[in-house]
Amino acid sequence: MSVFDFITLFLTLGMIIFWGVYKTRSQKGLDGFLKGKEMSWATIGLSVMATQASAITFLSTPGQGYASGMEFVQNYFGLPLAMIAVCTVFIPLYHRHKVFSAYQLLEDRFDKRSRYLGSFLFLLQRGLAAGITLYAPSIILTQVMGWNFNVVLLGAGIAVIFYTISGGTQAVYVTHRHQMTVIFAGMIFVFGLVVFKLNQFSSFSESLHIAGALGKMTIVDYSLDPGKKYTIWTGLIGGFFLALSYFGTDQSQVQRYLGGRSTAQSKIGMIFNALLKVPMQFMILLLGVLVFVFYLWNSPPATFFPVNLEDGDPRVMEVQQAHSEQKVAAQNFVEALRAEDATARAESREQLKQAHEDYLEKQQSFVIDVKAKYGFEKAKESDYVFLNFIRTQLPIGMVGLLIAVIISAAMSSTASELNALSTISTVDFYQNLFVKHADKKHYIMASRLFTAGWGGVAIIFAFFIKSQNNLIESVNIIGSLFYGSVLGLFLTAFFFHWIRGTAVFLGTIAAQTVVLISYSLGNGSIGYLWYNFIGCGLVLIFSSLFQLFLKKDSPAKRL
Amino acid sequence: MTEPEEHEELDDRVHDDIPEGKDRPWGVLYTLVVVALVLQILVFTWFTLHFK
Repeated sequence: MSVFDFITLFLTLGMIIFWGVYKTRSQKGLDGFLKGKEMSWATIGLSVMATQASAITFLSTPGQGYASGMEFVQNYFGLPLAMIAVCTVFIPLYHRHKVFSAYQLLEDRFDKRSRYLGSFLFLLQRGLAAGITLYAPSIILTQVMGWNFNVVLLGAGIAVIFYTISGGTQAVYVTHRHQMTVIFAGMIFVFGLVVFKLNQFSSFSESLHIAGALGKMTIVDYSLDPGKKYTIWTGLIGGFFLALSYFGTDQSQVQRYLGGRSTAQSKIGMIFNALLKVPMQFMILLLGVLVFVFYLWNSPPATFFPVNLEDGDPRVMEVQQAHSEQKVAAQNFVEALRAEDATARAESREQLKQAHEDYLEKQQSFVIDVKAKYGFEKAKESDYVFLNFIRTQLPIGMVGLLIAVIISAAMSSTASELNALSTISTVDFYQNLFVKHADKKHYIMASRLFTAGWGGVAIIFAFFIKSQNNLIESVNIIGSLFYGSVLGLFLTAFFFHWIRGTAVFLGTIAAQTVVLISYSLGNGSIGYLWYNFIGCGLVLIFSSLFQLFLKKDSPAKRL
Repeated sequence: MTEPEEHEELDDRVHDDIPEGKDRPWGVLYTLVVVALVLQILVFTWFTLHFK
């Protein structure tokens, strides 16, 4: 990376952090520090998106498009519907009860035990996830760029802790707005650049035809086969439950819309997210597909893993030879498209598919050996594709900006996590169990210390992870194992008025136990996304059963 | 002398009342979200068939 790139990188990140700290320097109110306040719908919408878009989104998603095509976008189809449920049920209740923590609502409906249980499950899964959110992008970034891992991890980690401590939730909002601006600008630039570079070989439409011929343009799959990972049905049903749990009950997201100037602003912020999320994921995946076509025309490295291959390695030459044949087949296909000759088009299409299969066979077999030789056994090669493209194809200055995009995304999701962990620790535990009546300065200081503490835990945890595992999947698995039970707890609170505190408390513990045992004994026989649905359903069933056998320990309450 | 907000405590939840915006046409916005989703799925289906 050139000096100019480093200047762009540090200027972009420095300006965002400076602006966040500067704008919230006089932050003295408890509301602003723990919840944020007076936020407009645009800030809320961007902050919600920034929290969800972790660095790995910008590394993995284009890679996903590159390797598997567009089908992954279906996972997001349930999200807009979940947003409507969040707007109609969750937001009005949170605002009416004037909560700082999502789990305060559980105390209002049931009792303190349920609140502690919800908060504890949140701290457990987010606390584990925070370290991985920092670690996963840092390891890929440092391997590809040849930087020092410890320096990147400490630098990004301390910067996040610094501005989150300084301005609390308000600073997280302010920085999110600018981080998302940089992220959007960077991604739009790369998209335009790929289309421009592709134009030398094939038009935009021809490029999509090539991608389609090689199976990358299956965006919607109406198959009812339950064994298929991504279909419109898993997206609408599984995606709905996942998004409802995440946006409705996860404090790192709830905190984003609690700071709305009014309920209306919070709702519009979520609708903004509902309208933009699917197109945004579509564009990021399409970018990956276009990078795939780019590497049909231009020689990719024999592997995208950051390894030094020996000169004149015969297997590398074999992969390069297969790539050249694939390029010729692609040229024939484009010529047939231009000639509008249906027969030639069908023939050249088959030839292209065959050439691509030959190339993939040789390349994948080579990658398996590379993985074993260089210790990348559990890493996904596709995670390295986009960063390699950025490093080798972008003009000077823009490489720095795109690295800033990735680091910004890592910082924005980590800031939300630390901010939420600190709020829950302060409001649900510290204030309830230790210091019940103190002034606001005391609680702000406590919240700052908790932010620093959780940030320290995240950094130390990240230092000790010595693994090439697919870590982001680990985050999703941890989330899915806990989200279902927490969603069940909330849905019982909202819709099952005859169920009381003791029954739901025992029901949630029983459901969580069954989910954890079933996951550890199941050996992956149930897709982890289903645990969101299973955990939620089990809480409703167990709580109802417990209530039938327990005496009514408290009067029924409605929220 | 202590300023009034010094006594702001977490469990008192003494924030200002937040307007709920009940007067707004939320049904129209929710319908817009559903229509946008259906349109996106239709466009994506067209893409899938066209670039097969």
